Amino acid sequence: MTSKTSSTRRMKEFRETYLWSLKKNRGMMALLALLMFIALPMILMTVMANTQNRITTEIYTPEMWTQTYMSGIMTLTAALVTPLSLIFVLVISVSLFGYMHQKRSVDTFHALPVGRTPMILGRLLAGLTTLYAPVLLNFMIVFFVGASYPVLLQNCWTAVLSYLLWLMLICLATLCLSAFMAVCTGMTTDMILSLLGVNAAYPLLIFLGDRFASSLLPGLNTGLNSNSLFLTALSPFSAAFMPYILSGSQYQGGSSPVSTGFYVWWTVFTLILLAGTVILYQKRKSECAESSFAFSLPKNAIRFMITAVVGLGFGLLLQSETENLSNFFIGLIAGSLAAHIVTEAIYSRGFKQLKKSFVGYGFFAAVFLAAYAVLATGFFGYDTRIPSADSVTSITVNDAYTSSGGRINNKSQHELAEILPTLTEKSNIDKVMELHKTITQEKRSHSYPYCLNSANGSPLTITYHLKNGGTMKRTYYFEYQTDDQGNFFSPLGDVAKSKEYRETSNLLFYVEPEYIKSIDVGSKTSESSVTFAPDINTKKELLDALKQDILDGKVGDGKTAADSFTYLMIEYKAPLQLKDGKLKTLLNGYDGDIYLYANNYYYAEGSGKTSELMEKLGWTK
Amino acid sequence: MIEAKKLTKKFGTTAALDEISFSIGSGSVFGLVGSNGAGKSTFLRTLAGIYKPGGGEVLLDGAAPFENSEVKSQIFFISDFPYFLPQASLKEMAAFYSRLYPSWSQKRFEELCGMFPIDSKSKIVNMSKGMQRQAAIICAIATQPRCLLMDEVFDGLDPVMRQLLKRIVSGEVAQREMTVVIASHNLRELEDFCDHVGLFHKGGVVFERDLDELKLGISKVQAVFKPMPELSAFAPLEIIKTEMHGSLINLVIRGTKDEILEKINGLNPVFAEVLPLTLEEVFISEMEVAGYDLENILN
Repeated sequence: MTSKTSSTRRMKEFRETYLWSLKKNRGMMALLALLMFIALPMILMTVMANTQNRITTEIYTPEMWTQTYMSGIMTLTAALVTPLSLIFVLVISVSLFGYMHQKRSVDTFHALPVGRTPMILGRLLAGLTTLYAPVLLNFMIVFFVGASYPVLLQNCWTAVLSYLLWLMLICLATLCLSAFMAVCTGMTTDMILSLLGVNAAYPLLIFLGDRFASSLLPGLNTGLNSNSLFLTALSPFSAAFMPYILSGSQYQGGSSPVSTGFYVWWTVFTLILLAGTVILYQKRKSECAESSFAFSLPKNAIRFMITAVVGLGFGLLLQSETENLSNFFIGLIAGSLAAHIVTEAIYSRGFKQLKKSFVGYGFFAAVFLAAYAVLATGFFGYDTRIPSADSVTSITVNDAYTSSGGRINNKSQHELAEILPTLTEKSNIDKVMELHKTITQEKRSHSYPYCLNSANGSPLTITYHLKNGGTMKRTYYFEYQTDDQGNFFSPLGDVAKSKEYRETSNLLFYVEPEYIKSIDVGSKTSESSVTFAPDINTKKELLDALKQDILDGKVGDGKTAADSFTYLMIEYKAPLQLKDGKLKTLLNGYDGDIYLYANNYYYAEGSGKTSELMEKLGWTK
Repeated sequence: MIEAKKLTKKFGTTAALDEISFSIGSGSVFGLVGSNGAGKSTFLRTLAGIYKPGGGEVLLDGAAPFENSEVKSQIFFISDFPYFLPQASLKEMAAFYSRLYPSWSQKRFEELCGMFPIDSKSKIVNMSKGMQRQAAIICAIATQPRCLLMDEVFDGLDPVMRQLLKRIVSGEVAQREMTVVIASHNLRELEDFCDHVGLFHKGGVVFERDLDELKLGISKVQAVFKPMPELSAFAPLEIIKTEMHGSLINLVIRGTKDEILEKINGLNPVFAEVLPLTLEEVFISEMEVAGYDLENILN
């Protein structure tokens, strides 16, 4: 048989498999289309119609219509469409791949004149079509809904497209993961359990692993937060919602709420899963149907993850409640052992394989002990490493009680920069490095090898910006002390009171008067405030007064207990187009729209330049 | 032609097929018989391309069926418990198979639907076991395979349907030289249907022979001797089984009827008669030689 005949035959097999799999799932496709219509276009139409009914009493601009439209799409996609799609991926996977898990159906399908590769790919494509057709149809309806209202579609179509593409990519990833699990398992129940297991256990393992490592190794700052791709890298169920968590509940305008990193990783991971599925399916033995696992690697990996999650979680919980290290180990062993036994019993449908499975538990124990030993001994010098003074260009400090800067976001609500104290003066750099050295010495002398320490207190993060372009970051936790007036002592000491520190830690030192939209003046004891929209000169005067008072320590940010009784809330224009100045320099010349959050400034009446100006303007009456 | 060359298939540590080698000629109806767990179904599934051989090979006209669509398009396998697409009718199954098997004959399908008492539009899952078998047979014959593999296909069919099946299959064999391999415990049904028989036991082939040759090559002798000679007198005969009740002796002997009668008459019996064995009797006798008999099991 020539290769051309072979590939023609394979294409025919693929096409026929695709067509009869699609036919089998046409009911599912129709159901999904209907449910998705209810979840998205129908509710959106209701929201838009209600808005239409309300606008007799207020003027609704196209921008407001766009805001309502996009917020609706975002909320509905996050809350309804995405979960619905993921549920249907599971259901469709069972329908398409469940045949591998019954001896009778395996006999029939593997006896057909259809190769394994076209068999699995045809089914996958049929599953995708079943998912994508309703999604595309409903998003098209959503587009028409937008077109029938004064929505600025040209401004928001890229965001809508981004939501759609993300949904399609994550559905594809989940379907490929389901197919992969189907090939590796012998029963449909195991397939579902494995899917749910990896989706739940992986993010929890990363999170708890981070908590554990940070509690053990002083100064460790992994940078793991809810934005992290790493946190959800193997969990499409969790990753599906990340863009919506990033954006918050309100659409603020912009192109794509999904970062390029997410697209790239999930595309690559999906391709790996697809290739793995095809290769393993060719090797899978037909007789594995109705047995435990065709390939045991996923089972071993998932069992490891669940054992580690429960062990670490229980251990950290007991340790944090009792502040006793031995309780951590008691919790770790009890939790991990129980999780291992339960997981093994579920996968093996009993306890017959339990004894043999303890090899896997031994592997977990060895990995944990190795990790503990490495972290407790300082992780090869991580704990004491401080860069040399001549390699440092600047130090950024994030101190819970003296950093008051705030965040600067772009129009997609992605953070562009955070206003943090940045020290470039040699004397300040030397003082911070000396403090850092003192901290590391105290940690070592307190207990070495290190013991688990709940991260009690407030964090202080020191970030060194190095001449070679790199950074080095360390975070330590302190129980902050207060004086008689309730003011917190910063571990930074005099550095926190220096001019450079105060200037670089407050947004006011970066903004121009023209950026200010309005000022609310209120009192801590009163619920109401008065809003002023001053002219440019008044704004400049006010800005200068506030800056001086900040440098003199007469204006606070409300974090101290003994703060003054009057406050100013400065609201900025949104969106803002920056002009040349300190803020644009901080953002490396960024020339897109930005958003600044409003900040409160507290001062005592009769003290400082701000109070004088308030009196002069008559704003305090 | 189907050839098995040192074919091996293991499930864990158990060898379901242990280096078996034999061949099945084109156009023959080959009966696979054997004890439970002998490897009959495993052999059929390996030949159907469902199982990958663990060692050796099985070939259909020189080509292995595993992951070979061209070979598999010439084979149809009916399992002991046929599977159908969920909620499908016979018509829908026909549409399914017609797209995959290049030799599908819609005309033959309709002819068969007329012969069997089955409604092609009803859901197969709601039918009885016997009717589901009929549906499987109709689909199988309609694909016009060169090689039809059937596992316990008579089970659940009433006697009339069994006869109908045999006639249809025999007709296909005669017209198209279709090769049939059928595994069954119902030796009485196989006896008048197969022309070749293979006996499997514990993963090996005990024998594989033309059925007529098999039946002619082994006979049951009933003889009365007065007095009964010593057992050593029967040594020249290749005796498989002996039963003595007083002066009556029943023997199962390998050899032709004439050879056996000549030697028995040489011992001057009062009465001697040679009777042909049924396939079931041949099976039981050969299994006894292999140690798979009732006395052995009970002890």
